[in-house]
Amino acid sequence: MEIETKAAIGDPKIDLFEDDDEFEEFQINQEWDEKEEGKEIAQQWEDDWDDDDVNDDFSLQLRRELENNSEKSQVYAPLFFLLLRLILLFVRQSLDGIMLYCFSVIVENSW
Amino acid sequence: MAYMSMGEAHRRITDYLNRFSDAVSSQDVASLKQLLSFSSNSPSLLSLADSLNVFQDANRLIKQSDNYSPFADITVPLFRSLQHYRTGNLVDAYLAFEKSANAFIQEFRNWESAWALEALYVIAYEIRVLAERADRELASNGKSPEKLKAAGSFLMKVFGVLAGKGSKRVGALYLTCQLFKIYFKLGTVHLCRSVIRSIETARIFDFEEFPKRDKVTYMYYTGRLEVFNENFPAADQKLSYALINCNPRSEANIRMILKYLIPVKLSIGILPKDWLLEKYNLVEYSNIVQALRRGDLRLLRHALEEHEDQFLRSGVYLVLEKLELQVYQRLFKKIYIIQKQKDPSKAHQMKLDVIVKALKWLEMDMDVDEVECIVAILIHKNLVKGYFAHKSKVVVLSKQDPFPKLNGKPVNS
Repeated sequence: MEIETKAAIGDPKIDLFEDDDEFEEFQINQEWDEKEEGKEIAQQWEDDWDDDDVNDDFSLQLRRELENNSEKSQVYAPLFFLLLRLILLFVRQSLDGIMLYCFSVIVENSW
Repeated sequence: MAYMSMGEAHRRITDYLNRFSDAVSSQDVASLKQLLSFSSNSPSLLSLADSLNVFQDANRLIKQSDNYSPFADITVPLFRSLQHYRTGNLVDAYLAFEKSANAFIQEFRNWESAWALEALYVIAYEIRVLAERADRELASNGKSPEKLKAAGSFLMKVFGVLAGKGSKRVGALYLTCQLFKIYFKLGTVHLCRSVIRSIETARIFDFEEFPKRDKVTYMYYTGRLEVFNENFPAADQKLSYALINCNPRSEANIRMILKYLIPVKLSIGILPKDWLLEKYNLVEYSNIVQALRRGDLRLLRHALEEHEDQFLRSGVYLVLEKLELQVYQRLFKKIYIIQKQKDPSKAHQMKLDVIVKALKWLEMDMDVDEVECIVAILIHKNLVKGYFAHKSKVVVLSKQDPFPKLNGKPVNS
């Protein structure tokens, strides 16, 4: 039903109404036997589709998304800080300071 | 138009009038039907129209003959209508036809048996179709279209004639269906209520007595009304009846039934097989079905956008949009199963953060609070069984059946 069109067009005088889905007339006195086809069509519905299968593409992608994110935060964060410290090291002049600093980082990470 | 002599025209007119009175006197509805069916554009009716233009004194002919004058009230306006129809003046054609039909009804009432019922059907159909064309003519001339509305009132009257105890009552459902078509076209579907009430509650009517083709059409329209009112179990019952009992060769009608039945089935957790969508060209539903199967909210969104116009026109958009909750349920269930496979002991404690991640992947940016809201809604509607450990931002799922199936019932409203 196109009730919306009335509001949209504005001028009610030239409005025409439509029903896109007007049922086609059956012939008067038309009889038919629908037993076989009726049964077939009744079997075209699934009510047991909501299974526990997660091997489809979507589910596999979902699994990857959930796993990747959690691994990343365990590995990348400390790596990031390590990199930051190494960059800061190059700013320092003293070689001893460098060796001492590396030692402290190694200790920290293995802790 | 080939030249027609006066004599020829006269002959054709009297021919028609003879056939009319013979049909009535011998109760031959098959012949009578054909004399009334303008929209069939049969050669004999068209040449009758031409004859009336050549021999312009048909009225006198009718009134002066004992054979024809009893039906003058029917045939005089009928001839006038036919002439207007032939020259494309649909408004005048409609008005004259309605006058003729009115006279026919009066006669029909007096006939004891229901022998002329099929002729009445033809008249009801012609009234509607002529009114539609008349309205198009009015609209194209910048005038207010009101003939279809008038046709509705007229057919209600006819319905009243049939709604009695006699054998004529089996015709009431056909009239009802014509009225439905008018009301749906006008958008005045609230007017369906009174005629539905008559059919379904009046003691004179036994639904099973009506012809199958009328029952199918009736269930299609009342099923659509149930969809409109979001009574999904009733919609399922009616549209399924229409589907199973429809003529298998009426593919267009089957498609229309499915167009409304599919959203209903989806709302009660039942999916159509791909074969069905393909056979009847209802591919606009394919992605929606797929989204439900997967738990893919992004796909649902895309599918709704892609066919928004179509869904809005048929009035099923809101029904489909509400499937979102079921898609959420399916997504959460998948997350649960995936986590269960990794760590069975912890799976029933679902971190809201995990859901946030999954939604982000599906291009839905939500924070933890919004996710908590959604989960709360699902719990409220019994799509998820569980409770919140609010401080730790975890939803603790029931160990038994945390994602209850709909089992053929719609989501709690």
